[in-house]
Amino acid sequence: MSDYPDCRCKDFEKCLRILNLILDNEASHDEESFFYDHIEKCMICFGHYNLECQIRQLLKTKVIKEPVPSTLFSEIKSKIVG
Amino acid sequence: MIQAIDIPTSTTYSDAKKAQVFGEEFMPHIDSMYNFAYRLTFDEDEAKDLVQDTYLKAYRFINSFQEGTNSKAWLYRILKNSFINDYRKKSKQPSKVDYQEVEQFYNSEDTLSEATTDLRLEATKDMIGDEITNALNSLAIDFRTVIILCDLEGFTYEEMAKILDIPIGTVRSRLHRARNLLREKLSSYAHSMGYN
Repeated sequence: MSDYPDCRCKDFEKCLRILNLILDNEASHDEESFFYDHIEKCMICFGHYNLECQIRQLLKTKVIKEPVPSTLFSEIKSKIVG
Repeated sequence: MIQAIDIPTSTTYSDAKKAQVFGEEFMPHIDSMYNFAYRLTFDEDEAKDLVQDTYLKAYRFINSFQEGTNSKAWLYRILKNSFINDYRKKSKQPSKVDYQEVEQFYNSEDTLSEATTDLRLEATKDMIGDEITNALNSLAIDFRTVIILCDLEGFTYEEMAKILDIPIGTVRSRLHRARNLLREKLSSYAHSMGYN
């Protein structure tokens, strides 16, 4: 079952566009105000907001980092100096 | 601001100053540079070579870098260009943006409706690093790149536009499409974990 089986928010497309801007710190003050007012009344967009926040958090914290090869730093240094 | 990659400027640094700028402004980014290179190539040796080439180019053109501007964005742009010009050619992959012809489609408002998904919040809470990493890695390179730059490295749309040499509107639409695709991948994992 979906959390959002049938989107009935009439502003959903606008909300989704603004949601991405907000999470990327690219939204204007007016866009932020519109969105945060809206999600107080719209469970669909509130749910979507939580999901998107969670995905961003997963990306930031759980994507596996590759260890830098131990010799890379010294190899670059030696080519610059040498 | 990544002024240094916008307008070619020339600052003549002394050898000592070059070493200082290189050591203090460029080298601290080696970890994220290597990870970016690895996520482009999926090969340890190629990633290492790509980072090494990037740093050597950065040193060679250090006079066009203005101290105090965004060195990380400057280095990322060099790495991205090296990847497109050298590594993609070597591996006989297309050197141009793969999805240019359909970019106009992504700019369309119609694509916004794709965002509805059956991915549930509870499912994402149980996901581990492997699943997230695999989902990210399975995206086509242009989509993977914008997610890495934005969500992992925290670049602004303006910085991404300059790093990738594309308009900000294209950054926005490509990110939108990339996130829809990532959500679809995560949704598949959620199903495989038993969330229906």
